[in-house]
Amino acid sequence: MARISDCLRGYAELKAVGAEPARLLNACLELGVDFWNVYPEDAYTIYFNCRLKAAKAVQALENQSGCEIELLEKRGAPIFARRLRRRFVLWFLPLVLLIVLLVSSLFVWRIDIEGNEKVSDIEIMNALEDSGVYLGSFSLNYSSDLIRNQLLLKLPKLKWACVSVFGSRVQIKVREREEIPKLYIASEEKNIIAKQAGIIESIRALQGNPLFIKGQTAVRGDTLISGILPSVSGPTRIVHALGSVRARTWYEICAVMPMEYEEKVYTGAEKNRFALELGDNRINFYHNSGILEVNCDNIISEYSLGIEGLFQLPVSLVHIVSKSFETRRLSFTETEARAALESALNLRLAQSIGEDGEITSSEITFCVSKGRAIATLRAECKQNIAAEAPMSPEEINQATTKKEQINQ
Amino acid sequence: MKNKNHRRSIGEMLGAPADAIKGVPRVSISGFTQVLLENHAGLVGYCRDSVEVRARNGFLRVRGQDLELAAMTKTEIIIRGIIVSVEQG
Repeated sequence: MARISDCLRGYAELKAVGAEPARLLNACLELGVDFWNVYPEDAYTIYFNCRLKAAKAVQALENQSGCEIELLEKRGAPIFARRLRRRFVLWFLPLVLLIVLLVSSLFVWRIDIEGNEKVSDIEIMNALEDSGVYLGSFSLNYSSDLIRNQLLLKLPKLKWACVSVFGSRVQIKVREREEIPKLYIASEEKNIIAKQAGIIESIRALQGNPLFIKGQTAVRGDTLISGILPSVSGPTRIVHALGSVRARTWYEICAVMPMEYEEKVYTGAEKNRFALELGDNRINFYHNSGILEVNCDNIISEYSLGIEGLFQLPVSLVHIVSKSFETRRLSFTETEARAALESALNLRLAQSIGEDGEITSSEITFCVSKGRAIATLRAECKQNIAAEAPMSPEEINQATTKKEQINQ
Repeated sequence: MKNKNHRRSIGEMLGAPADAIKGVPRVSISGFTQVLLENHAGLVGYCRDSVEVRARNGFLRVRGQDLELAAMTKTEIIIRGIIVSVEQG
């Protein structure tokens, strides 16, 4: 087996036939010619390798050694390169490809955005574009600090951003600002109203004037705790009402669903389509580019050219597999429909009464009519019905007038 | 010849190891599949079963199977194959 160094430097394979082939080898040593892989075929014939440059010198030893020397083959990288020299395309195209690869790695062909949940990718991409970072832009011009500062200025929802450039890939890591929790502002003029009708069981007014007592019925929108605090001795005060009102409430929620549904059954027929994306341009290798077939699922796979995590070229192959299907109508059983509706109704009720609410009693009625399943939930619950609402201008005016009258 | 014997006796007198004396052939066998012959004076004969090398005071013969001259320089020969014996003649 040829060594890598021999392959790179190149070597010649020679055959020597004579009465004493060993004389040739000794002559080579005298001449300072290195040789290796000496293989004797028989007592008069040997095969051996030597460097390309030494091949002629060895052949010149024919008379001195009394052997007939034949150059069998020249091998190695120099010979290969010499052959390629005539085949212009074979070395020119890889060279062009290498240059294109090197040049294209100086441009941005992929932008990865991580860490955003509320701020969309498009918003960040637009902000980046304003800062000069977009697909196809020259990456050596980038200043990570400058881009980061501009990004944070343009998107106040972001509290932190990091811009890293890896060849042709730009990685943007962001952290979003947390929403400021709703603060209790004492100076705000607010009442506590009923968000749900019910019979009041208890009322706890931490601030404000309670207008209902236990056992009274409040309908939706009634002011339960007023922010206007009248005083016998002093002026009327307007405060931010605060408190909780626990009440018995009743719910009747109805849910309807069709008993029939459609299911997809793949017919087995598939259609493969390919497209090539070069930057923002797309070359479709099929007709009717924008029209997708009816009754088929299109599975789109994209294969980008490049080394994952290192660099990305703006070339990608798009493979679209269209799997055609037929729909068949199936029916739910009554048990299935009932279970689905019950689950949906219970979820809706739980959302309505809130985390601290409790269900005292509940009943679900179920029937099937005209191909539809209908379920009705009736429940009695206990929950906090208090909700903050701003005071109307009339209320504030009235309270202010009273205040002025008392002052006079 | 006299000179060579003198050199050897002086080396023996000084207690120097044999391979410290210039030109003494040295044979190293590695794993029964490779023999390194140093300080040889040329190849005498070569076939698949034996390789005969001229040394300073005689000949060295390596016997074995599928012997191959892996590399050869003015002073060193590497012989590969199944080594059976190395003889001095």
